[in-house]
Amino acid sequence: MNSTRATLSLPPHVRPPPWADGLAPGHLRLGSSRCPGLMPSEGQLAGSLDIADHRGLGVELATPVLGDRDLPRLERLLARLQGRCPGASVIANDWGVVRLLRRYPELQPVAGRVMHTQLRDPRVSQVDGARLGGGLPRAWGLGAAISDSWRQLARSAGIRRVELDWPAQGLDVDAWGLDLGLSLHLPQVLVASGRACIHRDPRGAVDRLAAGEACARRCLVHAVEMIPPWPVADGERILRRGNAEMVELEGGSIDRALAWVRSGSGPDRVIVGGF
Amino acid sequence: MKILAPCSRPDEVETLIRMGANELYCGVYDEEWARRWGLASSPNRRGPGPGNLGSFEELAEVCRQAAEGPVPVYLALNAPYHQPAQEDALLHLATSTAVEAGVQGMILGHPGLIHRLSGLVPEIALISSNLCTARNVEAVRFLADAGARRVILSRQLSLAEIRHIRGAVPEVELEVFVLDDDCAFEEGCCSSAHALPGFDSIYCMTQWRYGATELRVATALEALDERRQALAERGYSEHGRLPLGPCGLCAIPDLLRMGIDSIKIVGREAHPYRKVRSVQMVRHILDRTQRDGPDRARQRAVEMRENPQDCIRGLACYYPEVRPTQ
Repeated sequence: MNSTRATLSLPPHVRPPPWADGLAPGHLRLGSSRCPGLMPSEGQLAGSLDIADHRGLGVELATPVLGDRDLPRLERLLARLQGRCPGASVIANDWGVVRLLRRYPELQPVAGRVMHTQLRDPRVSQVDGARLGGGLPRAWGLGAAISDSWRQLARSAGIRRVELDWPAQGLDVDAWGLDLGLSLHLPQVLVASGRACIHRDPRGAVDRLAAGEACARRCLVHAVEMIPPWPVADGERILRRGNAEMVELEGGSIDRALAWVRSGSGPDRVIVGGF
Repeated sequence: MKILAPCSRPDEVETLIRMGANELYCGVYDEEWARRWGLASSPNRRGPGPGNLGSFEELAEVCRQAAEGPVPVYLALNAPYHQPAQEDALLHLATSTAVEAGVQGMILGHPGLIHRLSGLVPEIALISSNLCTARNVEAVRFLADAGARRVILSRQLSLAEIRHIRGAVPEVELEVFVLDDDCAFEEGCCSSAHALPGFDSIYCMTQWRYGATELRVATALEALDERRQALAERGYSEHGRLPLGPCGLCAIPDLLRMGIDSIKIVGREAHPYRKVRSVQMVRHILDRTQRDGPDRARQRAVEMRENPQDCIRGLACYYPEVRPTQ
């Protein structure tokens, strides 16, 4: 147990994991940062807002990179969210969504883990820093929000919070004392995503690799372990989930990330199961 | 519609322009950058080596030769992020060294840097990189608001999506991919090291084995593997079959009709042979489109493949919706 101010963000039907002992739920997490097929329907949103009300939780709606055909659906969700839950966070991973959010001033834009770029390459543990003429670069433990120009533009767009992953090389935690709120995803690290989904055979695709169409959301319950030709770091697994590849942390990596959270100098939200 | 070609050596310039390139883009990784930040912290997602010019003197030479074309040269500064001291160095570079070298545009990896530079170098075309993931009209408008004169659209858009964006934002220059290097992932959604030193290969070309899964997923994974293998065979060989990489030649008539401003050939690090042959092919199909019409041009694009099955299967295809079906 501890006295940290950090709280958990959880999807409606996910319980706090054992490693999150002492962190209380603070937000209900909806949507997805990686796939339009995981956006809630208006009915699902309404039901989730009821749950959030009942439990006294804040609301986070995560949105991925979107095509134009997805934007009307998003606008309906934003209108409903603003009406029911002013002050709710909308996680943007698309600069177009950030622009769209100007029309919903009661909602709080957050830079999601895709928009907030970091190096999350699972091969980092194999890199010999000595061969790079100075060890592993400091930049590998940073992210876009460290950049003055990125932060300045984000602030002008109303962004006051960014989402982070805890990559294989860890983070340069001393660099993250920013004037922005920090949310940390655990235990999954999002490596890469796109429009090619393993629940859709690309050989038959006419419209290029369009993930999210006729989606049964199998990726929420089914992941494939990816076994690379290099040795995976202890306590980590690489998983393919729908249109994305991610690293699932275990043990020591989670402990190190949580130590930062519990120090009180880092993230004040931990996002669990945000895939 | 212009043809944008990669360039990483001064001695490529004259040939690329003679073969039909209307614009060139390149990157620089010089000794000073390596001394200050090490080999694996790049200004543009590639370390020293074939993907970058080695000095700003070389960049000035590229610009000097290109000016005889006259063809503009764009400088890639498109890392996903830079640490603050690097960003200061890039701003200095962008406002002095690069301008003095004769660069006419800069390709930038996030809208913050675009916005910061937009007031500082009004004479330079600021181009939002594919790393900004412009997949919809609102994203293009956001990037234009930030100061981008040109937006490189997401590599994973269909022709219908591109057409929609073109119609909605006629005031913004649009660039799309047409030939070489493709990926199952979206570039701006990928956090891998890509082509940085220290890593043995590109992450998305990893030869995976898979744990247990259901049949339907195994089939899809097999298809993705087949696609990756196709890219490996066709995209990275110095003297392989033509076209040498993933291909969108069939879509050139559509892109021309839409009013796309520039079509991009990928691969700064590619062998000069691939670059030159790629420019030749794109120029040939663009000229054929204007001279003989879209149907003949598409037919010619398929004929240029050694194996038409490559087109029919669409494994290395940027715009499968216009590929031949038989």
